[in-house]
Amino acid sequence: MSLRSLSRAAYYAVMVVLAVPFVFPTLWMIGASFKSNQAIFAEPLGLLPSRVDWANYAQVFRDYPFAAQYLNSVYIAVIVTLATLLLGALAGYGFARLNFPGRDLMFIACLSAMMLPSEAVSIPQFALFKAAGLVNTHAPVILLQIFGGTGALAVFLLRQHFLTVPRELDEAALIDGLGRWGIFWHVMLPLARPALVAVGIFAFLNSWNDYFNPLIYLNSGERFTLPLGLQGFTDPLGGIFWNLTLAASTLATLPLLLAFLVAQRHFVESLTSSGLKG
Amino acid sequence: MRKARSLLILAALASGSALAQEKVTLRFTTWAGGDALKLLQSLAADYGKRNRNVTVEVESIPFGSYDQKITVQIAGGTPPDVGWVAERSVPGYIASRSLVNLRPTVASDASLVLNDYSPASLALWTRGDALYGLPFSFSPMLVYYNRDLFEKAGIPTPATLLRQNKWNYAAFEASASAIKKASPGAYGASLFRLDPQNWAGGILAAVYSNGGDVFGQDAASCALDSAGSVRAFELAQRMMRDGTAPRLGEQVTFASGRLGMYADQVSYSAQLKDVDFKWDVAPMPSGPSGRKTLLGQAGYAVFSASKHPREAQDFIKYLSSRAVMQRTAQFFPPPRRSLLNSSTFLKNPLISEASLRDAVLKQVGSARTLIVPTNWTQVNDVVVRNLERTLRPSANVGQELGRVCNEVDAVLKK
Repeated sequence: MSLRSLSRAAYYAVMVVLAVPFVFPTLWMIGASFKSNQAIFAEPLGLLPSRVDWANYAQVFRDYPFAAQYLNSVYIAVIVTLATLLLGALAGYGFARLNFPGRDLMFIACLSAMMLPSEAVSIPQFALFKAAGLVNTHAPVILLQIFGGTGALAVFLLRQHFLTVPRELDEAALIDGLGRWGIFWHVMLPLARPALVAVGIFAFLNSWNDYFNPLIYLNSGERFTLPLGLQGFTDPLGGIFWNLTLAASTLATLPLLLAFLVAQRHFVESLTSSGLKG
Repeated sequence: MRKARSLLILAALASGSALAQEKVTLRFTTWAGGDALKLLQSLAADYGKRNRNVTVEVESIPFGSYDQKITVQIAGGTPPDVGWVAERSVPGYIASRSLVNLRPTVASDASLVLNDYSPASLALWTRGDALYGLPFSFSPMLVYYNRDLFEKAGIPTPATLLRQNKWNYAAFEASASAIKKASPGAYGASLFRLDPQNWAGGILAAVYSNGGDVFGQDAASCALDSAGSVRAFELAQRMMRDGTAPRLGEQVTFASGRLGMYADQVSYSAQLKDVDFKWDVAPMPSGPSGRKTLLGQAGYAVFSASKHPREAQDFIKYLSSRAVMQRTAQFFPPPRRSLLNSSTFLKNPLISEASLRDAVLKQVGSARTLIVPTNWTQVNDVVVRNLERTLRPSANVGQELGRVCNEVDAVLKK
């Protein structure tokens, strides 16, 4: 064996060992989701269930509004992602290329939305949404993502990206007869693909994992999103049914895992080329 | 013209009667889960049928985030009308004037005889003459024990020892040790919950029965370093050192079948529906100061910011009525004495009547509620932070608890 392949083998061995702390909990969760409440703790470190039992999965859908909560999470995350991309790209382009009075001040104001912890502004925000009659609807949950920290991050990332594109490209397109909108749509957006993918991932994940806003704004179980719904598998006084919670968590994680496996190369590329490390 | 006038009168009449029957929607918050949540939803629907102008919406909030959500809602001007309040949060809500005094309503209602409530169940909710909530659960800590593990160890069960008048903490420790010897893969007993934040569960029964306490008079000083408290924590330390009890944070549940004895409330039995071992419940063991277990409590309260306090109080009266409490009794031991003896409570699908009598009925008389100061969260943080250090095999428990008390006293003075 050459020195080179030897060092390669060592490299992989170290990587595999380092991956264990990240992979093990996920595999454990999937394994435990097929076990009874008793079996999970009878053999805490066991990965494989003695037999594959779908009872937990069936009960999650039969006894709890889990299907509705799942749908809520999916549709909210999709809307948040698309809207964040659209607004982020438009605003980012505007901040990068257009000259208008107060531009830099507005950009700083936009950035400040990223710095504020959501807990600090929750009460005035709540009063605002209450006045608008939107409490216990999905509107605050969606709007606070698009126009909150996630949206501000998107504007910032895309602005930085557009700044790196040489102005000569705009000018060439202008000479070729494209208007502002044409330049944005046909020249800039295609160039921004890696940054758009990165923003899309962040927007989707932030919305999918959001616990605080749904907790504050949503009151009825059928309107909950997954992070809240996952806390509902309890006995009369709030003791947790781990078997149901783990089955539901597995279902909540799977789409993300699958999406990552399918588009892995894409994700990594976009993160490196947008200069953003997760 | 005449026609128009009569139409106007008709319209006025219609709107007048609509005013009398103004539609009210009450928001009722709870952290109940599973079957208990379903029962509350059906009770709310029943109430709506009896009172056509009132709709009750049941809102379930995860226990860990319950107070946070209620606080934001009160501050933001959309408070729930009625809700469950956990015992540890009661002093805080009363101090911030967030709860309605129910005394005038309750006193005027003959069906809600307060004499029927055991006095211990109302202490937490009473300030002077005011009464800020009505408890629905009056639930002593009891011992769940794994009969299979006792059988394997060939030792008498807590029920047998109880009949022989030998069910005390020495017997508890000896039984745990025997179970560990006979089943090395299991543990003998645990006085702690999985979550150290919840340390007060089992150990407090041992503290009380040993003559100790958490706080002195009026929760103004720390008493965790008193002789009785130290004895109880030393027991826990010994059992962890011997390996008869799981160490703090070790994930061993009673439902796994790997734990001989475990302290929790009746509602925990819902977790044991499908287990494949035999189990039963017994009262907590007795100590030098008798058998004094910890009483878990939760109650219904009306939030002061509610826009419909009258309807909200009427709903609480309905929930606390004999007929309804008889139905909630399947999950929560009722604080009304006339119901504790009732057939519904004693006919539990999972626990025999005799065991319930011993473990619940006979224990409540001497059981104690932990009444906490308003800044309980900070006090609890101090205790949790020091728990592991206090229970280390080599630790001097008395000294460690002395340090804890110094810190707690500083918090209490703030």
